[in-house]
Amino acid sequence: MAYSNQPESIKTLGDALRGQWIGRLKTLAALAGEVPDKLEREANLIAFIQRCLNGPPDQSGKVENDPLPGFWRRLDPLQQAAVAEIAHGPVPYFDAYWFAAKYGQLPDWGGDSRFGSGDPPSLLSLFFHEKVMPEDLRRRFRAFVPKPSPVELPSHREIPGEWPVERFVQDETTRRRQKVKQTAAIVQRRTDREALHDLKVLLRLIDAGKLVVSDKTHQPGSAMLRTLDGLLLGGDFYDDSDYSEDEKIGAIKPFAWPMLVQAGGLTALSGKTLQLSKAGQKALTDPAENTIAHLWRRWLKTTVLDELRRVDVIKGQTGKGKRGLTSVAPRRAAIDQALTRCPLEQWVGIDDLFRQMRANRADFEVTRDPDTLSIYYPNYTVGDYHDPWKIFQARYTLCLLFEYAATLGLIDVAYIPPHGARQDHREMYGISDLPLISRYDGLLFIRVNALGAYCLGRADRYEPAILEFSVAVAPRVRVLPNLEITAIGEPLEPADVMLLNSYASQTADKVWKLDQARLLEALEEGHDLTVLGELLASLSGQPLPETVERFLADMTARARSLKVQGPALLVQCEDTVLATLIANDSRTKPFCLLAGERHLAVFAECEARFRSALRKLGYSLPK
Amino acid sequence: MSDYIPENPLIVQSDQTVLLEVHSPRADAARDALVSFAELVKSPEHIHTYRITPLSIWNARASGLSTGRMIATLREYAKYPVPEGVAQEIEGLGRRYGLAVIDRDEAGLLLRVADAPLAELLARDRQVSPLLGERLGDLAFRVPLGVRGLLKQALVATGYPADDLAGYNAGQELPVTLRALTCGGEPLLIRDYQRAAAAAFYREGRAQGGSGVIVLPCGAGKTIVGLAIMALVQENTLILTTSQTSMEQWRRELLDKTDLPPDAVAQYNSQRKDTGPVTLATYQMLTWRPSRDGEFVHFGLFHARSWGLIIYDEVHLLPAPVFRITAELQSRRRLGLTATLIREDGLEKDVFALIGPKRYDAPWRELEGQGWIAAADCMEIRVAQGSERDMEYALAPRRNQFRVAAENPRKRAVVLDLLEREAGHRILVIGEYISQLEELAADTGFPLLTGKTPQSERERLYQGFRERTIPGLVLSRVGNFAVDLPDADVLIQVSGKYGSRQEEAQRLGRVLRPKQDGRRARFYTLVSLRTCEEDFARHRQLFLTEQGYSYRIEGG
Repeated sequence: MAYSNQPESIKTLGDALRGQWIGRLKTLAALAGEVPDKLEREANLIAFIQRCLNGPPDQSGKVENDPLPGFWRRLDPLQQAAVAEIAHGPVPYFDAYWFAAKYGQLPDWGGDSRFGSGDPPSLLSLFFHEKVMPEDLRRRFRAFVPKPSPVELPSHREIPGEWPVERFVQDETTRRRQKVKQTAAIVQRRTDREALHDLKVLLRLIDAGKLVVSDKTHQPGSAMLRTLDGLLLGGDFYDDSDYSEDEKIGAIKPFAWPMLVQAGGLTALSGKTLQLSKAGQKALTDPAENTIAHLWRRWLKTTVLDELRRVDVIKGQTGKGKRGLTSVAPRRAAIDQALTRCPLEQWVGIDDLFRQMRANRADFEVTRDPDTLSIYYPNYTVGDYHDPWKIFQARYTLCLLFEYAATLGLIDVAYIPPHGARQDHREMYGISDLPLISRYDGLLFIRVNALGAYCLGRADRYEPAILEFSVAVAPRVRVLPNLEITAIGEPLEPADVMLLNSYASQTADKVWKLDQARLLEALEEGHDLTVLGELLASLSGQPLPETVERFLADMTARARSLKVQGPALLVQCEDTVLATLIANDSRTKPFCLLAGERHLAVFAECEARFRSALRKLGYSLPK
Repeated sequence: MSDYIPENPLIVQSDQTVLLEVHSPRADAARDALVSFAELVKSPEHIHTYRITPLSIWNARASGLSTGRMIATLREYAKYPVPEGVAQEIEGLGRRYGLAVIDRDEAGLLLRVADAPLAELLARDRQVSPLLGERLGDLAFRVPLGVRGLLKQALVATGYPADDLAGYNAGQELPVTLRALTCGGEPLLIRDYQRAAAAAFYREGRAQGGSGVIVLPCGAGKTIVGLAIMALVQENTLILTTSQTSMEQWRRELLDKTDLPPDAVAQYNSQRKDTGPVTLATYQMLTWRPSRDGEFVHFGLFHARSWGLIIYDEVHLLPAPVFRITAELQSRRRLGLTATLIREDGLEKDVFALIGPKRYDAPWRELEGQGWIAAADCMEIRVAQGSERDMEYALAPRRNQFRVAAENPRKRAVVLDLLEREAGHRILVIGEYISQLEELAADTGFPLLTGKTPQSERERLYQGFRERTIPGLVLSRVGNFAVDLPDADVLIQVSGKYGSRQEEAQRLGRVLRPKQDGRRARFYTLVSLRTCEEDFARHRQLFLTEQGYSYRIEGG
């Protein structure tokens, strides 16, 4: 589907020239060659330009010496690059933003620049008409112009500890807003361990029936976000508790996790409470890295949320602009592809990544109709802005990377607070002094880590960094043969405490007791005792005492001894003989069971068939 | 986190319990300091639990330990910050000790209190005031002679424990010395913990000592502790036991290990109502009465002589009437001996108040580690009942289900398998139901001992077992207590008294006497699969796991 902002292609040079006004044709003719005097008519000018660019045909009409290479050689390297990019590129039109993203500057168009300087246009204007290169010219250039080289993605082992930021602050003496240059310390977060931990926290929280989301938006509320923040390893990326109200950043990780587990099919919504689905129950015991890989794959396709909605300043997403928004899956696929091109365990600057995405056309669109979206002020639509990619695609990418890829532990992140972190909206009228466009603006570097390599299909298995896991972990609990669990080490994670509380009674500050009633209750609610067993074994660093293991096994076996088959209708018969007759007649037998001497239990779902069979037997059951 | 000190062994909890991590390098030092003001509650592997109670604090105060020292001990060894409430509780309770003092003057006993408000409080207290006599000024009350025990009990209940400085009545003198060599020519070795237990009880004869309970596992030589205390007290002694067999055992030990002549040890039983400087009697005998409302005609024994010491063997089985009379015997030294303070009737606090506080306790596994009791492997074997029996169990009224499960006939085959597996060992088969035991006796060829077996026959069979002419015995509940069968090393429990932890402990105790060749004891419990016996068994195991034994569970 063509987007409204995409120019249409032009078949031939002639087609292109035929649409030009006479003054323009004269200028182009002057660029093409020495224009004979009195060449005034439009048709003559077009023919002249075509002859100059196409060369004189021989008697059979073929061109022996193509003049185009000669023209090409007269171009400077940047102009040559512009021609090469269009000749070999997927689209015939020159995208100035894209070109600037790749080459850092625009080619010389002479006076043919967008705003016109009065200078004569450069030679490039001969090949581009309204920035579109006619198809015949593209084909001919493609024959001899070398392919442009793809953009390499610079990577770094080390990254700086600080980053310059620019902010506007109110000068109280002059009562004017002033631009202030500062530096901010860069925070580095290794996310894979956090994600492995946090996934378990989430699953346990849900298992305990304590994760509540909106039944309409499926998003967690502010109280839930605060609870989650306290449970996640290392907390959220930002602690904005000390920030003023207008500078609050908002939740990132605590917001992402509930959305991820829902999108991953690990949960089902019961009222407003999330419950573990069968897949979720399985995830409790599956290797966490497999579940994370699954969650990423599912997130790439989910429609539970369009990340663009998380960029609060982009307005119009729920109104008429919603219809123009592109499907989220291709957007995410493009970013996923960009990640697969990042070097492993190396830092990549976020702007370098953007450049590479755009230059290598691993790009995506956010909307088919940019004019329906606005930024901050409803009257400033995308079309009003210079290079809207920096607002829409960039912020969308930042959100997906920071909120979802980093939360899942695929990429390590280096970041500063978002206020004043990015300068790419400074030249945009009306929003230039906004301190930030999104809460993700502070993301500066990313690093695809071992978990990311595994989840992106670039490694066969997840191998955590050796240093992180070679340290012997002191036991945090002792599981005693008298069915008591005692916390002895570093304070337990809140999630672990929560899980213990679901299965055992806390009898003192540091002691829990496993008891039959509590465990049966937990089993009744669908909890799986294997999860408890694994938690205890991992926290204690040793196998469970046999009495405990057996106790858990006994309770599990007992819970599995009974199964709900569904509701039934209890029917009383006149006498034992009739009850036995109905229970054994081949027509009614499949739908009922003898219950005691004179009663029949009829499966509620089979009631109609039972009644029908009963009538055939010569009886009826009053309703 | 700076408040967390991983190498420290204590975790002090706000419910006044203290957990001791036994593998910690500082565990021994912490335990030594802690035991003076906290009671050991349980000691499973890895973590022992102590509890700070009003009694434990008052006992500590009675021995001269300041509350400041107690709190400092907790802070010194605590892994995590000590909850402020615990320190405040120790401070508050500790301060109460000694505000009331039971003393003696020429006219008799009197209660002195520290201040007038407390005197008014006690004078108006529902439990204390009826026990007080004439008021002697603002801060003292006369105490009738017979209520000393009851008053102490009431003061403890009110929260103002009396410092009992009235001392004990001197009993009739009895020179007793422990022999260096037993009559059999073996050197008599008093183990360190036995010596420590005796000293903790006697406290060099001070009023602060002389009454209390020694808790030691079966087989750890509680009788020796009793003899050692007799040798310290040197006064006439009344020894109360649970059975005639136990009386015989005490008599044998007294004559074997002390220099008492045979005529100094009298038995007060149904055949002979003798009294002597050392008199042995059973609880059953003492609590006999001609009719339900009649008087306990044998209670006169408590006043028959001037006893300087009364020993209550297996004090956890002390019958209620004996408690009552014990309240009147507070001027005598009182020693309780037991393997467990658990009372299935929940009267532990009366043991504390009337016999005295726990004076000594040692985790079983520690004694096992030191070789003083045999190491034991405990195993539960689950035995399927078969579908027919399962149905019988399912249809049985709830109160009969336990018996159906306990008498699972398939247990007989398992017993035979175990006998084959343990061939050559000294085996006891013990159970609850006589019909089941009769079948097992027939299957195994072992003699059966029940409550109906005459005493002489019992002694003959025990003797045969000791002398290895009988390889094994089938025992009813009579085998739970005071059966001195040092060589028994395998016990097969085919049924028990519901979930009695006390019984489980007693039965394990039958095989815990250290073996000469150092072999391990084995304790098998047969449990019917998927029946309420599993739940009862779990409850029974609690005591053993809390003493540090681990259970293996087989079958099912």
